[in-house]
Amino acid sequence: MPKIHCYTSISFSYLDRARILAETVRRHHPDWTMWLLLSDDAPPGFHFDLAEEDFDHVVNIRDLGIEAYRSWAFGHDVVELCTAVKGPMMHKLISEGAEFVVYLDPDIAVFSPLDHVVDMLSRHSVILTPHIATPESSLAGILDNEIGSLKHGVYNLGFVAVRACAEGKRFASWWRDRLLQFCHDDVPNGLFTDQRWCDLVPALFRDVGILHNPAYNVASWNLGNRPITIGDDGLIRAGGEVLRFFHFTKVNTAGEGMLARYSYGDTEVFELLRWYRERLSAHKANGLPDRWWIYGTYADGTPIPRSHRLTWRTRLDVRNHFKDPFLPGPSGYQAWCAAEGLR
Amino acid sequence: MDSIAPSGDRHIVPPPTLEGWAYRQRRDPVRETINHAISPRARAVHWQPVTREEPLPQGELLSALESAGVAQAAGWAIVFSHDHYLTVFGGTQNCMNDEEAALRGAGWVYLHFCPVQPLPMLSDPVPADAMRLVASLNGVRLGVVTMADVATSVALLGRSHRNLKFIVHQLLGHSPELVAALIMACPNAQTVFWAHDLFALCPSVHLLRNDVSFCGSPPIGSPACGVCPSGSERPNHVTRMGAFLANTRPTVLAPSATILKMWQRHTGFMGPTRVVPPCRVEFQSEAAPFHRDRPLRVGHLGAPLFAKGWHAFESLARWHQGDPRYEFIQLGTLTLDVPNIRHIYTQVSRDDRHAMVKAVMEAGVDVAINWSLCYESFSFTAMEAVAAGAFVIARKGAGNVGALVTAVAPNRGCVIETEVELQALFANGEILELAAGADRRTGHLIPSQGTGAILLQESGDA
Repeated sequence: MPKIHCYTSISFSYLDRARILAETVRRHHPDWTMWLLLSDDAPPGFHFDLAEEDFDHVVNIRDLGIEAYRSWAFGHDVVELCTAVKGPMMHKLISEGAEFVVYLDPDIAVFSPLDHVVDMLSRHSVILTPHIATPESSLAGILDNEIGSLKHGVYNLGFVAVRACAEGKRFASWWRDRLLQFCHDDVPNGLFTDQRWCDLVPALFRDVGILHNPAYNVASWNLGNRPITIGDDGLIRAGGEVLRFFHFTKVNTAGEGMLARYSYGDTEVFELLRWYRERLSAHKANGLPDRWWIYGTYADGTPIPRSHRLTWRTRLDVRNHFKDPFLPGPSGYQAWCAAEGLR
Repeated sequence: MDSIAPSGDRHIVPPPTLEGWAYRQRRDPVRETINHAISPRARAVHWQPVTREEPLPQGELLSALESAGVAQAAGWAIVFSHDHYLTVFGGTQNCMNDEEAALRGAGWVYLHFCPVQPLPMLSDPVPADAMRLVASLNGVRLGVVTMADVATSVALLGRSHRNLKFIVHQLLGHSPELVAALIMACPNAQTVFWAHDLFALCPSVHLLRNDVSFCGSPPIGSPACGVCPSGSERPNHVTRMGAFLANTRPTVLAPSATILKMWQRHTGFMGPTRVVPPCRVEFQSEAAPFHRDRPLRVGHLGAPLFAKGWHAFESLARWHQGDPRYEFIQLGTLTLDVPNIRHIYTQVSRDDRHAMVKAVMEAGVDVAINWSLCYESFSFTAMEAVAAGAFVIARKGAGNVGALVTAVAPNRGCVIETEVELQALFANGEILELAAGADRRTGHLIPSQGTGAILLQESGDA
């Protein structure tokens, strides 16, 4: 089997999560090449050394060949930006000769080898995992998970795998182009970062594989139909299958509540959560300021409001006038927004 | 908010007791326990030494042993456990007290050591002169000694006395390499190793993964161990315990066939074994009457600990508050302030071993819930409940509890699998009929002599 390249995309605030991902991928696939895609710069004094990480390579957003990347980045919040760069990165890896590429979200942990993915890559151009693979039977399940999928996308783009065949390359180019232009959290207008786009993938591309196995991409949105069990044999299962990877979405905010809602009184999933939090603590990015993101503030440290970003990405005239939106000063974009009453 | 009645329909209001119910944060003791689970090593950081005393001069230990009559004694029992059995009370300590009484009654000397620094795990390997132990001789605390001095003294003892036996009840806090070296320095001495629990298999003594679920000793390095805080310590722990068993070649004793089977299956131990129950019940012929004219008295025997199933008992008591069918009682030294649970202070001690049985009988407890999450190796509390004439509800998977209740006295209990079944027993009142139809004879707990009986039998002193 030719080498598989695996990447994830973060700002430094998610370095702890990315470290868990890399640690767990390495444990089960030591032969994979691990890439870390950073849409961030380290704060002064923060120590980051690739040699101390489980990643083989690090790529910065500025290395993706995106035209006027700082101006483009300004039009995105942190989630949108770290998602938008997934497309250019996939395209870059394939263009540089990678035969198989797997993307995994940083808040995923791998519990056993991703054999089904490896197997499917020999036959499929693109592999996707649906948010849910079983019809819901409760009103809450329909509202949260079926209607949630209709709003946010049928497939969860915490995972996507691509083979560099003709169709896979066509997908990578298309995905890059759409994400460069429309990776926005704008559900009323039919967009949710990269996910709604991928609803089109089975229609637009041939040989697309849908991985229905309940052990892949287990998360609060499908836990109700994939209960976690831990057997005397030491195996962790989801929906009766040996768990492959779990998606620890928003573990420190709403995630635990949603896991509680869909675990129906079972507690094994909270054992996974405890472990994950322990690993987060072990992999803490020491010395990183809270909520650090180089593109989160103007150059003077003032946080950038969402309204400033939305105006920036919708007004070509504004983008043409202000060459670097991050620059402070009376003739800068920040001052213009204030004068326009944007908050 | 569409469930709130319009102001014109003031008569349609929810009952006051349900106000705000949907907005309350529900406590989940299992999740809370999981969230607080930490590794034995992390827990050990907070454990303090039992004493700051300096070790006795070596000569003092030697002279104490000599004054106990090295030559005249019928035998010497050199005993290791995790705590001071003379001042701490529990199942293992009960066994040791009985064993000491039996051996000393036959003219043996009983020399006991426990670590000065208690630990929820093995001690890391340390030099013998750095390992401090509390020594007790024939039921009297001698003081603190170092393992180096113990090794010197016991080696001398081994040369001058033929009938030397080592009894290892528990290695928590000990360095197994040092204990093994001591035993191996006395090649003619026999060793007895007690499987009071499953510590040989994991530093999590009861094999409670994340402090909540019995894990069944899965393969080392399995995903289950990967998500448990004890998992990373387990490989080294099992290696050290395995080396101890291989080097000392003991006879393994266990308080029940249930625990021995589990222990043997997972240690792979092929040496000699025996089952030695720590006590039995001698029933009287008459049974206490069942009172249908008062609430069924439901008891939890022992400390209100999560691992012992307190949450299931508390949950039932809270649910049935105001239910005239039931009364809930907890018997033990520690208690928690929980509505609808009456606490009766009960302390079992070296001098009053039957205190729990007496208290349960005096309180008229009809049903004892033994919802232990542990894989119980024997369960004194189940035995005490049976001796007090109570019907025992046991959790399937709680090791020996179900087997013990069924074997000791049929028609004395039931074994159920889930907490939902437990709640159903009380909600539908089925427990009232089970208790009414149960064998309610009371009895006396008759302690065995533990290791004493075995050693005396083998020495021909019985």
